[in-house]
Amino acid sequence: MIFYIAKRLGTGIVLALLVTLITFLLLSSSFEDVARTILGPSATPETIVGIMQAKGWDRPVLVQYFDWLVHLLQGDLGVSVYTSLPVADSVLQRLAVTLSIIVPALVLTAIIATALGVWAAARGGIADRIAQIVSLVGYLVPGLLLAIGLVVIFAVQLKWLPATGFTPLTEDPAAWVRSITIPVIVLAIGGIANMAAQVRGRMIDELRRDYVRTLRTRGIPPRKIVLQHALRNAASPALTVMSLEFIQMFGAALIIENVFALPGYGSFAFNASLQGDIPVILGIAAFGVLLVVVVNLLTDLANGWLNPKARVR
Amino acid sequence: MSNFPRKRPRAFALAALASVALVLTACSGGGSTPEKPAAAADAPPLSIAAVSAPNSLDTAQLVDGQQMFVWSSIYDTLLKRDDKTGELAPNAASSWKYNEDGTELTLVLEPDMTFSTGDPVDAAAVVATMLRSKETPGILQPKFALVDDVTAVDDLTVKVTFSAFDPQFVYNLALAAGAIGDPASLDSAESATNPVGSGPYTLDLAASVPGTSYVLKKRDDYWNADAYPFPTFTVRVLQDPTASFNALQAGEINAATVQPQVKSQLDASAFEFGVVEAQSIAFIDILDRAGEKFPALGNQKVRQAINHAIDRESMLKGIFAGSGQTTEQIFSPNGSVWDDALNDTYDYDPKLGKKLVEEAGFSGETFKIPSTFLTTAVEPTLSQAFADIGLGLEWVAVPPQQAQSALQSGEYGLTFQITGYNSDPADAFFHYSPNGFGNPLKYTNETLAGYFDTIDSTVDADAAAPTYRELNKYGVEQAYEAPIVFLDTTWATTDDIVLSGTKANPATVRMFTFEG
Amino acid sequence: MTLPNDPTTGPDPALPITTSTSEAADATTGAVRRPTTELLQTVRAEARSARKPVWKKLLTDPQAVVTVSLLVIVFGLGAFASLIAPHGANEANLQMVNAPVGTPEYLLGADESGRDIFSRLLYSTQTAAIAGLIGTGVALVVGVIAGLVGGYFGRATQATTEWIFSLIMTFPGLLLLIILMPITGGDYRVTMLIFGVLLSPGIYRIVRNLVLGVKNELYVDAARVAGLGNIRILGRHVLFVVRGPIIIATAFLVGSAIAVQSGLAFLGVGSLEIPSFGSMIASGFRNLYIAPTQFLWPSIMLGIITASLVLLGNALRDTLEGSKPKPSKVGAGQRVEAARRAGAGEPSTHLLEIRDLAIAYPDQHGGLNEVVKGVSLDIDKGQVLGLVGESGSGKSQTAFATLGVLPNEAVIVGGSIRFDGIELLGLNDAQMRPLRGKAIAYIPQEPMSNLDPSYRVGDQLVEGVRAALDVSKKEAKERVLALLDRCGITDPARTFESYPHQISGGMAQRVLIAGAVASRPRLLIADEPTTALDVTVQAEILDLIRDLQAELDMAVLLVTHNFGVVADICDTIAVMQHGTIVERGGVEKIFNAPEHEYTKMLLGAILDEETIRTDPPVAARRRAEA
Repeated sequence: MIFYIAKRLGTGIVLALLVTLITFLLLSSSFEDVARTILGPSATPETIVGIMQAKGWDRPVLVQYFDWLVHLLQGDLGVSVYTSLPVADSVLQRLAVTLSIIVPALVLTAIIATALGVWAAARGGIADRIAQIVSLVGYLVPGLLLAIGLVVIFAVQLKWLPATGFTPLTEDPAAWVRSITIPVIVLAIGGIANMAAQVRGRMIDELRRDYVRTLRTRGIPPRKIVLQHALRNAASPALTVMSLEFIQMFGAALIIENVFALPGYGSFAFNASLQGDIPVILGIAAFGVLLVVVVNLLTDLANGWLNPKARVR
Repeated sequence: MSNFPRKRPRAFALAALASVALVLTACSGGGSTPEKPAAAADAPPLSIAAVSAPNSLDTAQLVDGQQMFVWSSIYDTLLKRDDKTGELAPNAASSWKYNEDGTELTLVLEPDMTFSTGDPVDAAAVVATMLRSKETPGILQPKFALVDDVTAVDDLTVKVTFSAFDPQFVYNLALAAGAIGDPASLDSAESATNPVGSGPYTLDLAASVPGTSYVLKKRDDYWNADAYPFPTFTVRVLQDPTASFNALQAGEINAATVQPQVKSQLDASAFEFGVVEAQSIAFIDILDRAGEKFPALGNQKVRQAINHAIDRESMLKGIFAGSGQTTEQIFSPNGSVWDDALNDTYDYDPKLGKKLVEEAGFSGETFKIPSTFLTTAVEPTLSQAFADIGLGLEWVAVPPQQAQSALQSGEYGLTFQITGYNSDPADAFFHYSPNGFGNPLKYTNETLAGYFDTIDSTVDADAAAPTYRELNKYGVEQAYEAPIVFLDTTWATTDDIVLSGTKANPATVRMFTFEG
Repeated sequence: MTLPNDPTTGPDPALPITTSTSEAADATTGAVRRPTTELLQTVRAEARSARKPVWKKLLTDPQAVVTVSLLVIVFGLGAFASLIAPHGANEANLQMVNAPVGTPEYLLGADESGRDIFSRLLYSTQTAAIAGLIGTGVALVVGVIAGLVGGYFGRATQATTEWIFSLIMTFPGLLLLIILMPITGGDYRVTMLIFGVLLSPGIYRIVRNLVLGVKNELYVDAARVAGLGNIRILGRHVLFVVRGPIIIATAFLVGSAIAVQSGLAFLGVGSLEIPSFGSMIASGFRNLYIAPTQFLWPSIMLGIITASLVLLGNALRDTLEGSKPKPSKVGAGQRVEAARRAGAGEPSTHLLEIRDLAIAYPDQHGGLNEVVKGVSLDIDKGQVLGLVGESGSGKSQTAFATLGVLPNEAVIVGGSIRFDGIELLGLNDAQMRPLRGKAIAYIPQEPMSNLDPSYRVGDQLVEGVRAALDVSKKEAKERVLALLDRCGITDPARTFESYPHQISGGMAQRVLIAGAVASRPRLLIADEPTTALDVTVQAEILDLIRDLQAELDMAVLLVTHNFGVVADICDTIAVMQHGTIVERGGVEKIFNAPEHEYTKMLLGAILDEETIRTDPPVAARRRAEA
């Protein structure tokens, strides 16, 4: 088991390195532009060369990458070209913000979507109709529209929730919950629409399986069959859906961060790309890949726990 | 018709009676303008929305603009601009004086100023900061281009020697170039993120999120503490106008710029509105004035045609919500060069424009023009305007980090910009000087060279005034630019906080005052 | 703005896609499973529907019709935008800035630059369509080719393609597109191209899984043997199988591409001259407090398009892969048409009394198709009745009806089933609880699929025991271990700890039998308990059942098609053909002197009793050779 995890993480690290290398190669053409931006309108060819030499950007690309790698191994991801803030700290800080809206959104999605899907599959009739309508509404309603509506009602009019900004959990838990409420709801709506349909489908399949019938003949109550047996077997594919959902949410979170002025990962990446802040971009890419790898690993482990057949011996 | 503000006589005295003038300015200069005793205990924390955050707080890398809200609270600047009149006024420097030919500037510092560490602010600090900014490649370096040396004559006197008179220099002392850094920590690793300054506030790094929000705490040991009523000053970076409006309505901030059309949606009993006039100018900058790559643009008739093609009134009303005034000159009504009469030079007359273009023989020409987030609102209108006179615009998306090189590359014949007001000398330099950043292809000719010769050698502002006016007239006739509108900025404030004045002054906490 | 979800969540990338709902060969034991009536119904329905061309099927599905119509209208309008739109996409009229809805010539108002919103909506639709086409097109081309290659050719190729696509999959998509902004210059066509590559792993997975599944099919072998080149095989046979899921995935992919392009445009990436929903939403958002409706129109339009694409994908999946049956309340009990139920009248004299039982399934046209047409039989205490008949004769249906576990679609259209005098038809699960697992027990046909794969064998048995009897967990475990031992399992403790996939078919059946008899039931319903097992094991299981029956004095309803089994342990026989009982009687009498033609035919078809088959079943032989 440990070996399996180690192997996966190892592969993940290799992947992260590959991604950062490719990214670095792609971005290496913009060093000069960054130099110009730092120098401003008064840049002359000499000062540009001067800055590039000072920052080590005139060296061969692979040498620079290797240097970055060496520093990485020492835990140093460098500093931002513009703000001189350490990359590792900034990236982690921003990542924490984004995760603190994505993870609750995912949990909320999982709970509600599962409840809805199971209810629809195990009840049929009205429940099924309702679930389908909820899904439809979730697809149709643009998240942004919902976000605005919620902000206007709850933040501006009622002043229950903040309209912008983010309070870290460590600073004030209550304020943190308030600051993430609307973003989480908006993120979750889209996720629920999709996952509920998935869960419903899996559950319907599962409930038609032979063992369900056999369990019924044993006199085991329907509720237990649905929630303990069928759901557990249906959960495994649903987990895969959730991990894909997680990665999707990063994209959606970027837009939400924009609207709510949240200092998150996506907007960090966006600004860094706009400015060509290469150390930051590399840090973001590296972390991004590692995050995906870890999420996939966790999903597989959870799958293994849920589904004995999928376990690694 | 000239438009000299009442202050002129005082400035005249300054030039004529050197020593007496020193005393006079010291007495009646901006630094000691009688101010209400600030009810510092009553003033609430000030929290504003800004559209940009400072990248670096290192004195050599400071950027002017809304970023100044943060760094100007941490660093004192040698001079400042008066809240009510916009005039240059003493701040950390209680007086300043040029020699005859403008090659020496002497600054006298206020006594008993301290950095937040307790170290005294002395001439050595100013010298160290300035020399460092001069040596460090960056945005600030060009401001010291004409500086030969900076020396400390004594503890409180600084002498700056120039290779030639720089008419912009003193105005820059109210901006980034005038920030005073602490020599003990200028070169430390933290200078960019957590610097030591002698300004009215210190940065509470623990409470701040760099890039998102900055919390500044007032220094009680600041030499002019009484003039700053707000116990804390929070700057929140909110780029999106809807987000900042939401924050304002929700009470998360108590001052923000608002689009004029939404004023009515704010509760009039709770909010005050203040308008800063002519904060910036929107204009089309003709880059290829010599017509090297785009011969059409080297032709005066074509440039004039462009000026005729723009329906300034409609643009002001439609795109800019009527918040500002139309203009056909780049010099600002905030300064003293602006000439109302010049605004009748180019009527909105696309037919005439088309005729001019045809006469010049350039019908059908198309020009590439950079497309950036600033141009979003105007692209369709400008394309239409050019089409109306038989020319074409091809908008090319340019990512911000390539904006600089794009302009200097010569690939683009013109560009659309919105720039903020600083001073008349700065405007002259920017737009018409061969070294001006609004003139990246470094165009010049004999006439322009002549004007700048005079400007760059006349120390007395009044004496130089006629030359500036001639330059303005020439610039408008030659149509090197197509200025469109001066833009006002509307601020909405609450909690008894109001704008200190209507002048387009640098973005500092002094913009706000408490009326409690 | 939320992005619709990954197209690979349409058809699940984790599970292999089956092309029909019935599986002829059991994957675990390899034994060929006899088709049941239920399966026959499904297959019949599928065959009928397979004969209908796909587009006709889609026409009958309202979801498909509505979404396709919507999409056709929307994209049609977009395609003809230049003809329909009253203004150019970037035609600005300063007098019309922020004009409200309903201004003459500006149907939906004008935006902050004075451009007609309605016209821009039309042109944005064009942009969206192109974005969708490029993104999806690239994803399909790359994914399909890679999937075909990766799935069909050897290990090395597969490993390589796996690696490449894992790499692509770990790129955080939207972030990568933003990071590449300086390179792409924001041109949405280039961006969509890259995005298409980022989307391809999903397609790759689908195709590869299908190819892997099909690669070893007999017909592909045959094609190879016949000398067809790889490309031809790939093209003809494999591609054919792939087309269904690919079509479905396409619908989801298009939605995804459009949404991502809108997202990027919203953030300001790319040329501002190109009209798109994203940029319209962004400018509407900026002007939210000035002109609130500007924001609405592109949002709604985008919502309609993405929702329609997702729903269309679902509808396509239902049509191409067979729709899911409608869910209905679990535990609600079987559907009984009250009108035709026979009354209880006479008191019952037998333990189990079935009278005129009639079961029907809905057919295509909304009517009912009877599969059991009036079956009557009795079983007394301790008696073993063999219910014999060919596949599809309705024997299992009768058994299920007794237990109350007919599938949701089935309708009982007549008759009555009484156990110990209690009418069973019409009871729901809660009402059946006192009987099921206690008085009436069930042994299924297929052991492996009747155990919950996620739970240990022992835990499942304990659960069953505790549902039937009020005992503590510890005591239940002891009982279960004892039962396992009684049922012939050599190492009960180890089996107790095992998962279903870790034990053999024979052991699984013993486990199920143990579970069934745990509560000493009075009636045991055994549904072809030995059919799915190897011949040698069959005999052992039969012995076990016989012993248990004698020991517990259970009545047994033994459903089988195997006369050998009947001869072995039954007291009475009932022969079923086409849903009716054609002959009933004592086992000796029937064997020696069958009356009905059909019975005679069946008996005549038995192989010579002297001959005992020694060769193992087909599936086991194949396994040995592999």
